[in-house]
Amino acid sequence: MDRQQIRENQIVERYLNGTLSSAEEQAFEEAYLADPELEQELDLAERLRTAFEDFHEAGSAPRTAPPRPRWLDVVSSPRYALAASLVAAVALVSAAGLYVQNQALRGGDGQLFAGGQPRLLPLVSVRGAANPNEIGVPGRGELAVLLLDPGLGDYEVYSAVLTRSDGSEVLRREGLTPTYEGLVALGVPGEMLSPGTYEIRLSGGRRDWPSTRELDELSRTPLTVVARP
Amino acid sequence: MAEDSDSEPQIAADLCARIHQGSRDAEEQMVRRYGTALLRLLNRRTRDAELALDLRQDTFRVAIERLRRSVLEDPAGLAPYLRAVALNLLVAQRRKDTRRATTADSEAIEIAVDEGAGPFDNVSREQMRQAVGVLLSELGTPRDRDLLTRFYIQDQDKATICAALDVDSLHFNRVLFRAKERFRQLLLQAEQRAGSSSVAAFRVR
Repeated sequence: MDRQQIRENQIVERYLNGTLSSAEEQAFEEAYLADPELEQELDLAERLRTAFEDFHEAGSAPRTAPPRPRWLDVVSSPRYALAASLVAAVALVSAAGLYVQNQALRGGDGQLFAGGQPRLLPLVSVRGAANPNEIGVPGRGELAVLLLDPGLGDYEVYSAVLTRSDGSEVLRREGLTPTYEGLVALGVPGEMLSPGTYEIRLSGGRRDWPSTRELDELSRTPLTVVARP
Repeated sequence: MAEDSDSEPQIAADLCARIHQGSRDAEEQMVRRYGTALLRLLNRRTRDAELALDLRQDTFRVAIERLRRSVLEDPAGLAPYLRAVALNLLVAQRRKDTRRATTADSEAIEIAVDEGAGPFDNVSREQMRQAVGVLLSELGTPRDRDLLTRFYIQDQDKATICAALDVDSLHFNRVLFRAKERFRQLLLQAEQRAGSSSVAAFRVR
């Protein structure tokens, strides 16, 4: 019984759940007795199984999806997915705008609104689109709120750095935390954005990390600012 | 001298020959090499940790006595031989035979084995549970989470899962492989935080 055979046939997991034939079981036991690395792989698989069971018992495991109805196959096609993504993006932009305006009316985050009463240009990234983040150049006193998806990593605080295509830094914000819908919001005063291409670099870290440790880079999002007609 | 870089048949044959020549060092090496896996096997068969430890001890005692007396027909097959001895002892125990009848050795052998040899011995169950949470949160799609849940929680087989989620065999293997690798990384990080591993002693007398 070689490694490839073991891996391709899930022999380790089948051994753990007791579904090997007696001949397979004997062959596998002789294999792992003679192979410390395989024994460690078995150990890892057993721990993973136990951890999954604990996770499930804690009530945090995802429920298994019921059998998919046929109509779901249709709407889950790439074409519909793209359309749905665009609709979701528009809805998110609108909602984010309302959220930030609401915060402004309540006298919320002064850092974001230091430039006065802005006209907001919230953005989202749409994966797969050719140039998803293209905005008209904001006027003075306007504010572009860039909403960045931090992903699913185990991070608590973020930093965002906006740079021009030549690498010069435009704006840096430290200590950001996800706000609306788990997204990180970076407010950029209109005065800072002129037509051109930019990049937003998002990094994440945890509060218990030593101060000497650098944050993990999570994403680089392109942004194009175009002149208004 | 058996080295880790040698192949198992070479290592096994070398150990058998040296034990037959009276090398206590080779006896220790045999216990270290096969002890952890043999205990796992016996734990699985008996579901009784104490009994498994006793049976492992008796297995090595029987094997060492035999190897001192004579060589195996197939010295390269030391692992299958140890498994056979262990299972025979288990059967004898289940028949209410006196397991202690195998303890006729007049010479005491003292062998230490590193019980802390596992790389994740200091990782708690809570840390492992949290690692699964991280692992699931990092997966690309809900479908992959569903795949792992079906496999690890519901014990569904590969064919059933592939059919239900409309994924092919390669994708299934890939998700499983990446999940295990990521889990290994997370446990290693937890292990490093937990500090140095502890070492316990095991004796065959």
